[in-house]
Amino acid sequence: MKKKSKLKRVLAALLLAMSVTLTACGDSTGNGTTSSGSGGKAKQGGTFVYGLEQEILSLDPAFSYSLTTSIPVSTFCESWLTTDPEDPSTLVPLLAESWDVSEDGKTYTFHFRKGVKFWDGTEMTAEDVVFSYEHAVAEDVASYIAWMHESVESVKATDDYTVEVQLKQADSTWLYGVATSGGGVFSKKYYESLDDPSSFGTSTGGVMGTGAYVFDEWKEGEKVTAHANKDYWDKENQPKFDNVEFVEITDSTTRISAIGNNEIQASYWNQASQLDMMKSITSQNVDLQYNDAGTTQCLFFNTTRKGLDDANCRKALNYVFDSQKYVEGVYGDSATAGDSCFLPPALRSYNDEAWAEYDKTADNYEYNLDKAKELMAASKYPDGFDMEILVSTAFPTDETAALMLQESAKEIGINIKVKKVTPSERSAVLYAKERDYDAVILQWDADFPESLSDLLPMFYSENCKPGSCNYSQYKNDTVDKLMLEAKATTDNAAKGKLITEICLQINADCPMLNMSYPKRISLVRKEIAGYTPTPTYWFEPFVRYLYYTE
Amino acid sequence: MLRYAIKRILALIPILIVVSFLIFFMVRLAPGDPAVNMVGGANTSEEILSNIRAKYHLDKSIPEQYTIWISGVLKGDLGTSYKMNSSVVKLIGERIPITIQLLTMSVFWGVLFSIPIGVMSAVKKNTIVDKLLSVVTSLSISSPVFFTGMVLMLIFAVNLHLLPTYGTGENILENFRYMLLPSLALGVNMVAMNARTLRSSMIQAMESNYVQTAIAKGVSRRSIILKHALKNSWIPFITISGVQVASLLGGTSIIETTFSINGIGSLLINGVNTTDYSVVQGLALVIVIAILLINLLVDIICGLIDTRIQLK
Repeated sequence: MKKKSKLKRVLAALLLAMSVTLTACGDSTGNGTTSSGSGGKAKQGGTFVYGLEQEILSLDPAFSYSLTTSIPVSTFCESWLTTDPEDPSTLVPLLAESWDVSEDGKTYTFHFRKGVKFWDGTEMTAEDVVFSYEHAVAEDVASYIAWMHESVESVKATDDYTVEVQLKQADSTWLYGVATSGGGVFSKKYYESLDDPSSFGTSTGGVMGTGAYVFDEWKEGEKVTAHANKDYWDKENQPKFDNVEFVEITDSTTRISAIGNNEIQASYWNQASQLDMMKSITSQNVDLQYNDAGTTQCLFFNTTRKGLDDANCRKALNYVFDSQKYVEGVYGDSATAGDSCFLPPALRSYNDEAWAEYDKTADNYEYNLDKAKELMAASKYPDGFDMEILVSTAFPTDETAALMLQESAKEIGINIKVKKVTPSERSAVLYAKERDYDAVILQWDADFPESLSDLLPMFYSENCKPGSCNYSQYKNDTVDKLMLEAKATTDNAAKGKLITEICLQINADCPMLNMSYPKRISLVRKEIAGYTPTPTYWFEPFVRYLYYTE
Repeated sequence: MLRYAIKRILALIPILIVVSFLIFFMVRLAPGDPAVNMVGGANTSEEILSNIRAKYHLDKSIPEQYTIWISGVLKGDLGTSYKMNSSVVKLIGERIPITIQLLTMSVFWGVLFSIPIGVMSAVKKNTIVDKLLSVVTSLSISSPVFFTGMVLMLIFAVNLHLLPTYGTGENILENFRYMLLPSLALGVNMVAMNARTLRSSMIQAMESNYVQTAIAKGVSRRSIILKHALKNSWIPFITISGVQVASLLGGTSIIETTFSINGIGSLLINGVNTTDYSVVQGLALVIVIAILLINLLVDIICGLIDTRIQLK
């Protein structure tokens, strides 16, 4: 009997292998849950293994600018602030217990906690905070997260627990920079004790932080291991696991198999193209979650190119793309249909009234072929034109969206060619001196869980320069002025109003086509609880919230 | 033999100079600005980009960059990874033992399966056994490495829970368990070519005069197959195995990524994806050296097995 059942399992596995190979996009029905992570009494102990989708690049906060590298860095080297797991658009204290802002918005004073210890028992002081900050912006370090602090004039310790930051001009988005892994604080003494300072953050030099889990070892290309910090400063969020591992599993099929096999317990970033496989492992005690994300799947028109330089044509393309149908067919429950605003729903914050007003005024560009034809007839290109859309091989759903638009755009005389490129080819094209593309589909994840910092890179005219993210080459003086005003204000309600005005203007100019707002598709073993991934979970020390349930 | 080996190693030097030149410039043919890729398109100032370029000498002319790089190589320094901010020599040094073990195990499986298949095919030439084995070898060569790996993973790891899905162990012995599936996937690819080569050589050997003489003298069939035909078929078999090892190196990139094994293959893939010039050119150089040395080793082994071969 045993042999027969093994044979059946082998055959079933072969059939599963065949279906994995032959499956295209998933079916339309999702059966994941939206948010979880609650319930069950916390059990102390055990090893938690988190599956990362890319390699860890460094443990040095100055080199933590990726969805994967930021996770262990945030766990080990805690930041000044963090985002509230219950309300991700709100900043809450972490190592800094409070902060004040001057009336002109240019001076920030941070009061750091007393008695916070590094893992070697030495106390964290303002000197360590300033040292860590200066390391992140030092010229010779050449950190690629230094851009987060470009508004800063000076940072100094005014006493052992107080740090004063002077900005060049008021910038309400700057604060989020010290709530990311890039604001991670490490021990100055430890750094200076290294024979070779350049080894800091590598597998030989390691790190010295204050986090709930103490760094043990980094097997490069494989995993980082840590154990519980018995002297962790935050009594309300004591570490529950004995050990933690961050393992690198770059192949998504392998990662999903590993969680089904209980070799890893959670993986928060997964692609909709593998929904079928993810659903198949939910029977193995795995929760499939769809959580809010700061992601927009967007098609950016290069507004300097023929055809796309006319707003009527861009609007016509918006009207022929049925985003509702697209989402139902491709994502099921794991995304919401794109609407009038580039910002995903999770980032429409600061002023609910202003957003309600925005919803009444903005055009959602719901599918309407007649309207699209009218717009084309009124445009400079009534006979249509040819264009090419770039999509990345890393996101099969982008290709599907492009093909769908290709089909429907024929009705209005626009001939679309879809060009698939690798992620690095796409970067090379997007950031080249000459932006030689007609349109590109991207899945853009907000750097911070904050509206303005999601809009600035894409729509501020100065970001049309080579190497920056204004992929539409969009220029609007009114929008620029509103953005600068919003950046300077610290009044959230006023800021919210300004942001909705910005979004209305962008909606009218239509430099893009919002296709969908994908949710965060997470896989978590059912025996794990304590945290629901937020839109920028990688910047949060979320492992300290997690535990095994009884 | 020693003189021959030394002569061959010295001959590698001009080859490596030319190869280093080609690698360095070919890597830079790929479009894109590594400094911009590092920042990820964030809203950053030209000053920060300049700092990044200066740190990695990307602000210098191509010939200057080559000179800096090759001077470092001659001192044993392959540069610093842009993305990981770590020495390339260190990155490679930590991972190469893993890839060597994976390759060794793969070659072992490849040879282990191909010898009996090749011998059986030759002995049972043109029978149903030969035809069936031909189907097996065709399947082995036509199945992509990653697919074979996935199927093995699904059967033995996910469904039967006999082996791990990913990663490596704490030491070489534990690695045998972790690398069993990936090495099988890689090794299976070798079988077709090796088995067919062995089959052809053995058929030729068994039709030769000295074997016919042995048969006439009443030597046992077993002895004829193993002591005469097989022994004289080793040279082409070893030669083709050496060539196969070189192509296996390419396969390691795929299989290491599939099974999340931290070898030089996955490092190369990451380097290419992140436009990390230092890693890609450093690894390319190391791989070329490895292939050239493997070829030398194959020649030496052939010379040792068959004294008719004169190594000059």
